[in-house]
Amino acid sequence: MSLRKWLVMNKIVLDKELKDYTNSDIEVSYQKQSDLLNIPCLSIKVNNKTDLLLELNGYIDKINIDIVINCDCNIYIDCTSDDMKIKYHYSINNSSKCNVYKYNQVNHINEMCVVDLDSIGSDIEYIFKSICTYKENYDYVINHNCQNTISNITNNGVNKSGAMNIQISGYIPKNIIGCTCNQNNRIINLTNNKCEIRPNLYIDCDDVNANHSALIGKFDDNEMFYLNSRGISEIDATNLLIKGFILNGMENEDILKKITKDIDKYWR
Amino acid sequence: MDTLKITNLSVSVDDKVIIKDFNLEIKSGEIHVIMGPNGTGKSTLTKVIMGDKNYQVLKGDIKFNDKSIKELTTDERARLGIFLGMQSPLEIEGVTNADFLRTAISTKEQDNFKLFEFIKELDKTVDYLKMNKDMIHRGLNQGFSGGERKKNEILQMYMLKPKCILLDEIDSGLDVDSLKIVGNAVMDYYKEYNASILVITHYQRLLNYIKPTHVHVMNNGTIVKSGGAELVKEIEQNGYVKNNKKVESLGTCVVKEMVSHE
Repeated sequence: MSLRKWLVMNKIVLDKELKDYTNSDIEVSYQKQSDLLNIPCLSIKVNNKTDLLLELNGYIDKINIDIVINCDCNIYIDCTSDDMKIKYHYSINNSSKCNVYKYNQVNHINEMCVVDLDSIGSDIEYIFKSICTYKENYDYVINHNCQNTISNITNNGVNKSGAMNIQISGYIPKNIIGCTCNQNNRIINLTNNKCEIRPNLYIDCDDVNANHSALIGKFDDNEMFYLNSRGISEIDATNLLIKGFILNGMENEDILKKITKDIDKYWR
Repeated sequence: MDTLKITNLSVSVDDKVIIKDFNLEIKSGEIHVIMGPNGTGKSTLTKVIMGDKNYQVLKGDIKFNDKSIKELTTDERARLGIFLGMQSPLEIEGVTNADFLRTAISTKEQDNFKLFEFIKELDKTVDYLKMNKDMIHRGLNQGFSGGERKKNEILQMYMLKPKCILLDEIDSGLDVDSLKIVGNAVMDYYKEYNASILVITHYQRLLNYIKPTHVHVMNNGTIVKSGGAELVKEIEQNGYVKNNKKVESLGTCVVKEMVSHE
């Protein structure tokens, strides 16, 4: 994964009514209610290389977010809410590379995420982390609409006291050759509640590179023994292992601090 | 004076008895070496001393400074000052060496933990062990070679300053230079802190640097022969097979004698 930090960080906070605005990097338009489904809709167009931080602070419980990406960008999403229904739609054009780093701290969420890789060489690196306390359902659809497109999707969740379900489907139609479609899903389930991962690859083409992994379980006993053998207590070892699991791969300093605070709140 | 005393210890895993009526006493200032064929329970012994839950203690006791540690958890045993340098140190993704060590030492030192002192000592020990400085900020043992992992175990030993050290095949995966560094580091630590050390090894080469005060041969879960450093040469020349044949009956006697002393 190649990471570049762009000079300008554009920040969008959804804590009150958002007005349309445009700058040289992004265009943001907000419709309070879309015509058909009575759901507010936020549209973001990325026109220049940029870092974009999207903060959802729980003021809105239903929203559709359309992100059209016309240029390389890093998108950081920090979502805090009690109860939320949300749909993200990413359209990645102009052979752009988009890195998404996302952290959810929610009680109950139904989230849909559709990625359309719409031009040759479009590339998404998606890293999602969550600490589940009640009920979280995620449904991903990754459409490889053009040749040589790349999707690397990582979902890491720690189930503290709830139930977490992830369904992820990658589609590569006929004649869309040279694509890479990877899904890496792991839930550390610290409860006896049922968690589920359903990874699907729908591939109608020979010349592709596709992998999927799904793992639900507790931390390895040997890892715990190793940490304990250095005098680290069970709770501190859990804290350390969760930090390693959840912080690994995340980039934004503010989000990292927030995750660290959440982990210390639950496991200390 | 710190003493680790193992009495009549029998241990099983998955209903198979691995260690039988095992007796051993290690005091401060002593270096005990246990040698023996593969699968005789040497590594199991170190893990049982450390409190690995995968093993079931059938009978016997393990005491550290006259207090039984059998019911203590692994972290409680470690905080008493027992350290296990593992044969195959684990790779833990995302947990950096620095975070791991800081957590371990701040747990041990509680309110006395001083970050600046910790960083200074860590830097010094990394240099002493000729390790790459960037390893400290990498994931725990992540992408480390076999030798780097073993050096990392010794680094942890130096930082945690245990009283009783168990080293399980610390020489495996080490090249000649690294073996010398690790061997000398263990000896330097021993001299500085008058620690008690139990070394599990297959090869005499480590003992060119670590000079044992006691050598034991272990077979079928028990000590079959004990002696001084000269026993290592005997094993090197004759191997375990000949040695075991020679000492099988004697071995039983040794164990019985130790039991009767109890």
